[in-house]
Amino acid sequence: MKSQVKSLVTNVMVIILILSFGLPFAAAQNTEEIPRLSNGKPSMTGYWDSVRRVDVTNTRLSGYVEELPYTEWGLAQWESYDRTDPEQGDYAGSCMPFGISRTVFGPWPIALKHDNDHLVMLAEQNSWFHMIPTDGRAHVADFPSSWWGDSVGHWEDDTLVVVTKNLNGYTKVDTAGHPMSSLATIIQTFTRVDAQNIAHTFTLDDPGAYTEPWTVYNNWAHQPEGFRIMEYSCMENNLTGLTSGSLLPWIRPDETQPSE
Amino acid sequence: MTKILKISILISSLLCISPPLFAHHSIAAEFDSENPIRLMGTVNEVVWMNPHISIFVDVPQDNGIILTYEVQGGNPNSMYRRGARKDDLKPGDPIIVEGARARKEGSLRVGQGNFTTPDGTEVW
Repeated sequence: MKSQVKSLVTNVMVIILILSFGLPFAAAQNTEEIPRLSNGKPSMTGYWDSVRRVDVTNTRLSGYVEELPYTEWGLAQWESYDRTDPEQGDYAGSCMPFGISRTVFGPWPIALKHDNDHLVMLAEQNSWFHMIPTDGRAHVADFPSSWWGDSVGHWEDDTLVVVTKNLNGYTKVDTAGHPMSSLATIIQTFTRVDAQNIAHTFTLDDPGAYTEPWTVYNNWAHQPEGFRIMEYSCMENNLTGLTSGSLLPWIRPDETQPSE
Repeated sequence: MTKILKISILISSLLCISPPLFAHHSIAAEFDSENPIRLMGTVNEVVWMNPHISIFVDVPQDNGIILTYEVQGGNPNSMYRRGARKDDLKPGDPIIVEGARARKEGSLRVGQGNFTTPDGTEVW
């Protein structure tokens, strides 16, 4: 009886640990060798799936942000955003680029192709791609700002660090609509903890919208052999909604972005 | 322990599943989940497109007119991975739809559709 109780307690502890910290704990059992690039660094190549995160503050999902430290501008953005208001014309409904955050927090798989010089993200969501040089080059100082921004990667030991700058400030952090300004820098880390998992972090350093950086932790799970990325033509069935007026088109916001 | 791990991962995964209304964009801007609609009719056409499938449903009215509603369902890629196929529903199939009305007055578009057959079998 005593051993049964002990076993039950152990099992409950395992469940709590997994529910609290997600799959990385379970993945610790994996003993397959981590694939490596020709330069010896871990390869991120593969098909990956992650946790759908509609709201980065959702406490039901491990790795969430406890409290977002808004600036005055950020709080005003958050309080004025109403995703149920069709007049605000959500950019995602118009199939404008989701950018990094709403892609990595989205529900669809991502293929990564990785060599010594580049990490290429091939997202199923809207069939977007994003190229990240990892060959030591710097950000392009005079690049025009954009939805996805300009990303470069570098290694810190066996962790690939991707820094993205020069964002246009039109994207939101998540579907819930948490703000992001044109002053934002996104820092992602990719650590291949074993053959089946990447520990991924998303840090937003955005002095326009938040008084200090904050981080979301997500596990990316490797998809089995034979997995396929499917076509995702976003406008295909949104067009009738937009042309009928049921879905209002996104309009470039005219509010001023915060200044440095 | 392996069994427990599998159960734990399953529970963990289930907790991570988001409702379909958040599947792509802010669907709440087009459809009002607080304003439900229930339709009984027959399938006119299945449109298997991203980001959400549409099922056109012919719904007879009391005055004899047939209105054709466009009911949006889930994301076709996610549905495919769960085993759903376009020909699970065919034109002429009787169908019951529960969904959310469009915010636009008079619109025959319905969002977040759930589809069942008259005998209560859940299709999508």
